[in-house]
Amino acid sequence: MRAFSKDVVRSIRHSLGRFVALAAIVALGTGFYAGLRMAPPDMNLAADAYYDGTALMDVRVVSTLGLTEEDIEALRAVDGVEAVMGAYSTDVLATMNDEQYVMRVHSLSPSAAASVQEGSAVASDDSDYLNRLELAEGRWPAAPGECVIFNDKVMSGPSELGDVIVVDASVGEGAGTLARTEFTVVGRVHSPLYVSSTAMGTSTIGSGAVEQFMYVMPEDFDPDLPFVEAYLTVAGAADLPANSIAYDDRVSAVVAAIEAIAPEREQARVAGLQAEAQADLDEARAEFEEEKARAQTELGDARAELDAAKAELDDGQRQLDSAASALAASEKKISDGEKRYAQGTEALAKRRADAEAQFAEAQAAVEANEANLAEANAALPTLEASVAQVEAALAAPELPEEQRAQLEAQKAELEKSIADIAAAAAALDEAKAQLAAQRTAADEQMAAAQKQLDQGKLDVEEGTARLQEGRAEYEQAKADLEAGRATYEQGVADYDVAAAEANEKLDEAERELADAQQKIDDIEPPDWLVMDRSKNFGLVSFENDAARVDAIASFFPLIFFLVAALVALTTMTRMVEEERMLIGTFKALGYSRGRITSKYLIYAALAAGLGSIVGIGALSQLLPWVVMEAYSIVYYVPSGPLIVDWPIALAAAGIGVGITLAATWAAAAATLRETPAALMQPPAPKAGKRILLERVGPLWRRLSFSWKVTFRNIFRYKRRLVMTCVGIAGCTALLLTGLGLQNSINDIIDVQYGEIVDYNVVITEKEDASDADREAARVLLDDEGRLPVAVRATEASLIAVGANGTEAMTTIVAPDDPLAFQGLWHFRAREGHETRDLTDDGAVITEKLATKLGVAAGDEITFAEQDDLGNATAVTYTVPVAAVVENYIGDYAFVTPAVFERTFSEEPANLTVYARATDDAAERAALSEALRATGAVDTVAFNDEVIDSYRQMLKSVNMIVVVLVVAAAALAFIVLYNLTNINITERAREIATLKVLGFTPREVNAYIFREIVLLTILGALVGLGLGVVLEGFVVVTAEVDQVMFGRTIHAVSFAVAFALTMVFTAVVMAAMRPKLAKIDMVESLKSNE
Amino acid sequence: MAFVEFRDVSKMYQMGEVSVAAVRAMSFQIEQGEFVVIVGPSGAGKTTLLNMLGGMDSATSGTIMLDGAEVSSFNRRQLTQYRRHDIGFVFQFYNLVQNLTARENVELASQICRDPLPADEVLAAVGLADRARNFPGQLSGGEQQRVAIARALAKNPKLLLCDEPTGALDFETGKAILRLLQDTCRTTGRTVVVVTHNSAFTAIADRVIHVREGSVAAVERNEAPLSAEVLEW
Repeated sequence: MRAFSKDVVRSIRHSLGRFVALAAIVALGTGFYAGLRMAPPDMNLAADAYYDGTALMDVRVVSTLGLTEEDIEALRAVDGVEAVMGAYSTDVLATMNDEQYVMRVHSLSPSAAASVQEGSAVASDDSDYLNRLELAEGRWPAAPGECVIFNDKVMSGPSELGDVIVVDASVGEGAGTLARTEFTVVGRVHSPLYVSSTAMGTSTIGSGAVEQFMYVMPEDFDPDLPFVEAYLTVAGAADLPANSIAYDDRVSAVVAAIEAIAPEREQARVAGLQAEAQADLDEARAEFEEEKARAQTELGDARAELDAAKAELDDGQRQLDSAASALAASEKKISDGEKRYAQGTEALAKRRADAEAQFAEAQAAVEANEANLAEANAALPTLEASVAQVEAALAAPELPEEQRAQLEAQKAELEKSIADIAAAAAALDEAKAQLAAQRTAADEQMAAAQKQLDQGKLDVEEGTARLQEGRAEYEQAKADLEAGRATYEQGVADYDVAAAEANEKLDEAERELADAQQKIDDIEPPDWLVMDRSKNFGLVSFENDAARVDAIASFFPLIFFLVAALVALTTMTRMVEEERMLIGTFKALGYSRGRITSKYLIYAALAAGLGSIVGIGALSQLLPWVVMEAYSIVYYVPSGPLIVDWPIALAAAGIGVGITLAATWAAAAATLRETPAALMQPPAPKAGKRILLERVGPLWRRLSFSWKVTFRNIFRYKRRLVMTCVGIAGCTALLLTGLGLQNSINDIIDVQYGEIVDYNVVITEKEDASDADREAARVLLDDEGRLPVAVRATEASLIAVGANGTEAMTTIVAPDDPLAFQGLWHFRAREGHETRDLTDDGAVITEKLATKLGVAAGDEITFAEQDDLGNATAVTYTVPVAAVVENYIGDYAFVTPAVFERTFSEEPANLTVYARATDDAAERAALSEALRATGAVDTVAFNDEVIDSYRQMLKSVNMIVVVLVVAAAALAFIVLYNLTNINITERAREIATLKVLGFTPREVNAYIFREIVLLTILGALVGLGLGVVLEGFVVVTAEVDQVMFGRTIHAVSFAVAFALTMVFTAVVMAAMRPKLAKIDMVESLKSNE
Repeated sequence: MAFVEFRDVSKMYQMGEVSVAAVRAMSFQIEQGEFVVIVGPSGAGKTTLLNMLGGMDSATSGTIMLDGAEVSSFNRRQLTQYRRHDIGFVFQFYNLVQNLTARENVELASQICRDPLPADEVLAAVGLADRARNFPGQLSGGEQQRVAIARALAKNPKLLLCDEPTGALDFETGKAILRLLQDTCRTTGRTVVVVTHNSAFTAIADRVIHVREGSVAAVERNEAPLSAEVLEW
């Protein structure tokens, strides 16, 4: 070995610490760079191996009307298609172990049972068996009703083999396509269609996200249905790396070819469906016509019967009418008879009265005459007396004649009067006789008349009796007729109803037939959706995460490279300074500048080369492994070989060695320019210099020398200041990034569920529940004992469209009572925590949504309806944004019922209930059970389930935090070791002087380490600032869809990052103390260095 | 009893298998207030002697006494305290802290001991009152050595030890330094020990200790020491 080479080797041996430190920092820089950069290729490689090994589909074709065998054959015939598998699938809501899941049910290929697992690859004789399942536990389904489910127990819930999954047939259409509703779990599998347990796809039912999958035998699907989808592989695609451009090109060519045959197949599908449906319809129409004729005949018969009844009734009416008129005539006769009788009676009475009056008059006359007679008779004696007197007087002789005459006249007169009285008595007797005769005659006449009258009366009475009889008869007949008529009317009414009904039915049938015809005529060609792997959430999510690692990888190692450059510069500068005399000697011996420089370059190259090899070798295995291990919590992609990606490895090593050599060259160049003579002299000691701080007199005077020296030294060696600052700042920044990342991720849960939302359960009612069921559910929901706070709301899933075209699935929530709702969901600004209110002014949207769409309060936000496949349609609504609020999970837009109605022109349905339930698990289970038992409730989702699953997911972060902390520690150790090492060796004389002056070891340590502590503090403070930036970058880069990571690093993390940096410093200082103690006063001071 | 006494002091260095004696059974005495020159050729063991006297190194055997204290029995901690309070050291290459001004270098020493002399006074005494605020880099060699002396004196040590104090200086400057040391001894009564290979210096000493091959060859008292001013070499 040449002497010069020996010198190189010995330099290394004598300064092994320096050599190792240099190698280590280069190892760290290159290793981190290479390791992080290689993680994404390794991930993609593992994915590629897994996808190829399980014959993962390259293209999935879904038709809105299903796919026929002919379609499958047509697909197979497409150029570039290698294998095609028709399959069934549907989404259902199912219960397993009392927990409800949105499950996607797939048909299991019959070839699955015969497949052979080789590692994570699955071999099968059936080349058309795609998306091959890996059986992790249990066995394959052997009979209908058996199923295998996802082997992930974290996100997809706990389950055991033998558990029974019960499909809720009342939700969605999915259950209808299945032949049964109960399935027994017989095995657990991994499916390449579901590499991510957190992104299994979206569904139109339940929570909107697929949470579990299940493979059942094809027989368990309704046999009448066409295939739902076809999976196919592209020839040669498996040979290309997944996610590569070449792969994408190959697949898109086939996608284009399939899309080219799609219209034809779509049309064929319509024609087929139409023909099939038309045949059915024609049959139905014939049946209808027959039915119609029969109905019409039946109706005609009924009508005729009714008409006959009607004629009979009319006849009866007529008879009745004539009977009525006969009765009327009889009645009239009777009444005439009665009238006549009455008249007769009256006339008779009159006659009798007249006669009586006449008799009475005659009687009176008779009686008057009798009285007169009696008077006369009474007067008779008088008269006779008078006569006697007269006679006597006459007899008297003396009588004057005159007197006599007179007396004689008187006596004549008197005798006449007596005669008159006799005559009158005779006349009276005659009159009496006459009167009696007359009375007798009259009585006779009267009696005859009476008799006649009595006869008439008798006749009348007889007629009346007859009439009454006739009338009763008539009434009976009439009643009969009425009854007959009522029966008839009923018959008519019945007939009318029946006829109307029959007609309506017929019309309806007619309409239905017409509709059916219309429908057949209107059958739209189905849409063929041709989707490559980029439409599979899990696959894309994995690819995106790999890309995220790459983004972080291109940023992180910068710190290490920067520090490596600085460490190399200071280390080599120091080395060159130490060997100043040696360099002078070499020069004096005639070695060229290049030759001498080469010593240092070789030294640096050896250190950097060794560091690169070790660093890249170790970290290119370790980091991808850590990253994949971390991701394996949510992804099932068996890790493949961790290959060394040579371009990256060489680039990393090139950068590492390059910067070290550059720094070395820079360090050596200045010294080598000096003449040998000058080099033989000790270097002019770096002059002390006043620093800015000294101008602050009062402060400076108060400082002790050791502090003064410390401050002067800090600024004296600027290169070291920068190296330490950058190195320590990097260390603190890494620590803060790790801890901050943890904060950010824990905040998702802690802030979301600890501060923002106060509900712990969300219950959704079925849209189509019966009123009774709904009432039962409402009773439970209104029970304040079970749910002390509950607010109804209307929910809708729409796609928010940003001005930049970004689309985000958004849940619209319109609480019935916005004020009460704000008690369960606190709307606040993230910065300042100022409360935001939900008012009729517009929508309150969540922060991540606002950021994604690029909108702020005062802007407008547009929502589009989504079609069955989750694509935005042209139906859009616009709402002003009233406020943006802090939120970490999910993208939400909150509106008041008024705004909901105004915006969507739809009445709020209020089917969702946000509520605060008890924390007691048993009570919760009882509540869920009771709610589900009502039949009106779709889902009961407790936050705890969400929280648990997130916590699991977040465990992956801890590993990354550990990596960051270890890297930070390594960085701190290397930098501090270097700094301290240089400080101590360079200032050995100074230290020895202090010792001679009688400084105690403690004072000496303080003198030296104070500087390091100060630099560390300075670096750490810079690092905290840098860490905030770095953490922000990582958080935004690593953030996943629908979730906003916390944006604040907790004060504790700042404190811990700072404290850990100080701990690393303390450890290094403790390690360096012996070295300080070992400095020998005598040796150090002996000569001029 | 003498102020300083070396009794059979030996110092052995282990060089691999062999042990080499740097100082062998050395005995001598120094009285308080004397200006002592220890003279001998390179490698004679005079610096070792000085280092042991200054508490920078410990003797392998024998007894070293200073002002009644047995320095040779001190442990590491006691030696540190001994250096701190009792000894002032001046080196050939000054060993000033480059990053401290002249005054601060002095204060560096005075700050840690019990009964220091005011820095400004000491600097004035060595004739550097007006350079107090200069950094070592801004001072000449002689000035730097004056600062070093001032730093040693400021501690108010019992013993001022100087190891080739003029070794890096030109003649005139060296002489000035010697005079300063001699004056210090004369005016403050401080015991000063100067180690040198230059036998010319013996003329100005009160006591001269000749060292050769690790042993004291002779100790002589100089009844009429010359002033450093008239010294020639």
